[in-house]
Amino acid sequence: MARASDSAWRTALSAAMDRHADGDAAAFAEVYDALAPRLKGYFGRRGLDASGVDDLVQQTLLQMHCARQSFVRGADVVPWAFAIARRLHVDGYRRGHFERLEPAGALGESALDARPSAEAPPDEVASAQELAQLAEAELGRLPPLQREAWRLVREDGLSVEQAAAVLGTTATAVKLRAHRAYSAMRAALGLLRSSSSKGDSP
Amino acid sequence: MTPVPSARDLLLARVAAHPSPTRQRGRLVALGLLALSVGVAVGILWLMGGPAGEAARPRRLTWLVSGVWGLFAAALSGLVFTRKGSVMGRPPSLLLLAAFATPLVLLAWLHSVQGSYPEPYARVGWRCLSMTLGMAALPLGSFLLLRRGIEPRGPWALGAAVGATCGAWANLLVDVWCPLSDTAHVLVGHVLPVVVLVLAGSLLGRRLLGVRPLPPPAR
Repeated sequence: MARASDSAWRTALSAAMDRHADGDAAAFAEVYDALAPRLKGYFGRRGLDASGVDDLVQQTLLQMHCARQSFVRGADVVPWAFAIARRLHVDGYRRGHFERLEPAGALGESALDARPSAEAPPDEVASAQELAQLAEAELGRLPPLQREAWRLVREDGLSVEQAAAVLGTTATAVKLRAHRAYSAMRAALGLLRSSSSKGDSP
Repeated sequence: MTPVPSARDLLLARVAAHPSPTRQRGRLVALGLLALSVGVAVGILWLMGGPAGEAARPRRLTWLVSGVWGLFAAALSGLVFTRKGSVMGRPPSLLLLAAFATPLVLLAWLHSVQGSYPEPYARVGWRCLSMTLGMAALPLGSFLLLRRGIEPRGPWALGAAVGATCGAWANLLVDVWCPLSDTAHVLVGHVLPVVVLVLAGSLLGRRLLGVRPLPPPAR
């Protein structure tokens, strides 16, 4: 069901970008509405502050408008948008336009996003915070290629094929990188669980 | 009190104030520049005296050498310019492989016809080198200009592959003109310019093709 709605969303986005590439200026509002929230999430999860996020979302969409002549009819817009976003983000760091913030709180949109419900008992909240912090720290220790593959697939919601298009590699390479990242994180979280269960035992 | 415009309104206003070429216009300009590039290349060939004469190299061999190379150049163009339903085209690693394989394939192909006819004379190859660079400069420059600042992925690899493709097509015409297949001449006159175009395409592509943040709007 979710897959079908995602497919319909992608088709509608592609059709809107097609119309914009053909000169329909109004169609860009549809492109904005569809992509801006996902791009905000993308930049937000990479440790930018609100103004940095807004600036890069605007830049990404403006770049898409400037490059509309290169849009291939019927193509998937999402990998293209994320590839532009990634390039601007990397370029911004290289030029020192913005500094990296620590991920906003352990319960921000972190690697595991293990947010308990509002009514959860305090010890559950603390445990979830600890888990999320550990996951975020472990993610930071991963090689950049594995981290990026993991983030695109697990956090940004891209398919393996879309992530491969963003990174300029094959779907198999993305699967492998994401799997290695998953294994490393699982091992780290498993260590935490085993040490905490040892601590609990009398 | 005037309401503060939202980020959405600001962007849409900026898009409206910042016209960019539509797909149709982009295609028209690209076709125009392609036609101009072909015209200039054929003009250079004509100025240099046209195809090699029968006395210099058997005509059938001239067409064979150029025809097979033309097939390679067409396949290379297909690889570099067709996008297979994706906005970003082929992966940078594949483009880079194609770019660096082109001079090697050219050397192997021209070397394979060496000795199949008596070489009419010996030349270092400076004229072939100049012709190749002269013919390829306009299409390479046009591509870099048309796609300036819009490639989000591997702009240097794309630049290198386009440099190789322009060099391959220029070589097609130079092969029609030049009757020599001596290895030293082929290296200087035919392979070296393609290497130069690959490197130039890569450096210029990195500088010009890649996505860059746009300047903030004038207030």
